[in-house]
Amino acid sequence: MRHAFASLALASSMLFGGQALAADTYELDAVHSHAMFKIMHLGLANQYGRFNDIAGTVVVDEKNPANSKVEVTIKTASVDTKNEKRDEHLRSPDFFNAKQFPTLTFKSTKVEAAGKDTYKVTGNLTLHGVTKPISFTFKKNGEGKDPWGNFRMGGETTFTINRMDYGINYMPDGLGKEVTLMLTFEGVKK
Amino acid sequence: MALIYAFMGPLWLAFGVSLGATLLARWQKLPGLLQAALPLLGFSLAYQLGWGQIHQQFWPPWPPLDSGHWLLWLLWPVTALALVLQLRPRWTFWLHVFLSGLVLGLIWLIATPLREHSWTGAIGWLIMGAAAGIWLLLIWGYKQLQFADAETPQLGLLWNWWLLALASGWFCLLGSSALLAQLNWLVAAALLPPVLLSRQAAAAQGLPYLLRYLVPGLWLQLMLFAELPPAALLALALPLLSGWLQGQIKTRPRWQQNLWLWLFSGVWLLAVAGFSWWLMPRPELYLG
Repeated sequence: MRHAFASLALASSMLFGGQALAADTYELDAVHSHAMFKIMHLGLANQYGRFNDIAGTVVVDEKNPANSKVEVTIKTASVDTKNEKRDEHLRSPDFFNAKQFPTLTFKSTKVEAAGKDTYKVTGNLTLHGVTKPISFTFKKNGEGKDPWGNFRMGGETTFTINRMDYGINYMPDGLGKEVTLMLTFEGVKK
Repeated sequence: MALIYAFMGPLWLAFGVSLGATLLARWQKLPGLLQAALPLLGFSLAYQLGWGQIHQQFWPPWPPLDSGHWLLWLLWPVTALALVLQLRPRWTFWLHVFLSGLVLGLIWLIATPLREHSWTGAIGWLIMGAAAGIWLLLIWGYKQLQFADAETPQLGLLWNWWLLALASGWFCLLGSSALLAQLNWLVAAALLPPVLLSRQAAAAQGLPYLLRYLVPGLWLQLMLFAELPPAALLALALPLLSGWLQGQIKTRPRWQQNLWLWLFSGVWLLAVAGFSWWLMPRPELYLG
């Protein structure tokens, strides 16, 4: 009987211990991660901006990518385009309506392997009170220990959304409908 | 140039639709009921179409996503109420009670996202109370005017609303929202034809009820979701000041009363607009 319990304990530790090793959780390092966007202005030149307040976690399961997860939350009021008046305008009801819709969120629903260190991520993007499914390819750039002993993983993705789909339809003639989002991620393993 | 056209387009559209309805109302062969209802219905349709052109959709989403959607969804029920108030003055008291309940409910709806995300505890309730107070101040002030005006044409009163909508657009621009500015000027554009052309004052009597809903609703959006220049709040003293002024000039002929009120409102709003601009920190160069 004692032998049977010992076997069970060993089996469960192997099972759960194995899973914990396979799926690693990384907390987004806000200092070394960036959420940037670009949008065409008057059909002349792309304008770039970024969000300064981002948070999130990424769970990576190399052996079984379907167990991987991505969750990112961005505070829309943290938009920064290097012009305070333009940032105020972007925070206003004309665009992000930051007081009504304080966050932009992404939650993955499916992660698939798409090549070496590449994943196809599908999930729901909530922006301006509207939630829509999107897909993008996440490229893992690398992983390893930093000089302070923390284990880090980094990667990036770029994808395009149509702002009209999210009800951000002001100034359709002055600003492009397509917005390209560029996210670079550096996470610290928990 | 294309941007200016895009900005002005909905305003011209609203003006044109309202003008058509107001001119049609002057056609003597129309049934009296329709004649009386046309300026009000024309105004609401003009606002709705202008809103649709700005937002590239005729109806806002349902369920509403933001306060602007609520404001537009409730426009037609309030228009119906204003029409009943205009055509059946005997029911005025109870409909006023109902309308007041509706606008208070609207404050609650408009502030929903803030209650959910940003406000906590007593501060949220204080801000809500202040917003409700300002709304009630507007309603109360114009109600004073209306009681004083009960037996005489109200076209002079409509001029005050027109000026307030015009000035509100300017405050929205200062508050970094071109969209809210455009919506306020949409009100002004749709209001201009009935103010200028309604020969029978009765035909325009339902409009103040509707304006009492729409203009404060846009103000609440400015206060809660954009960056309201604090000095702009002085503009909301206009109803009270106009009411006081009307009491002082009661004995003068009607046209003189209207002229004085209109001049006073214009000067007051111009002064507040200039003062708000002067107090603002000099903006960096940004033209959209």
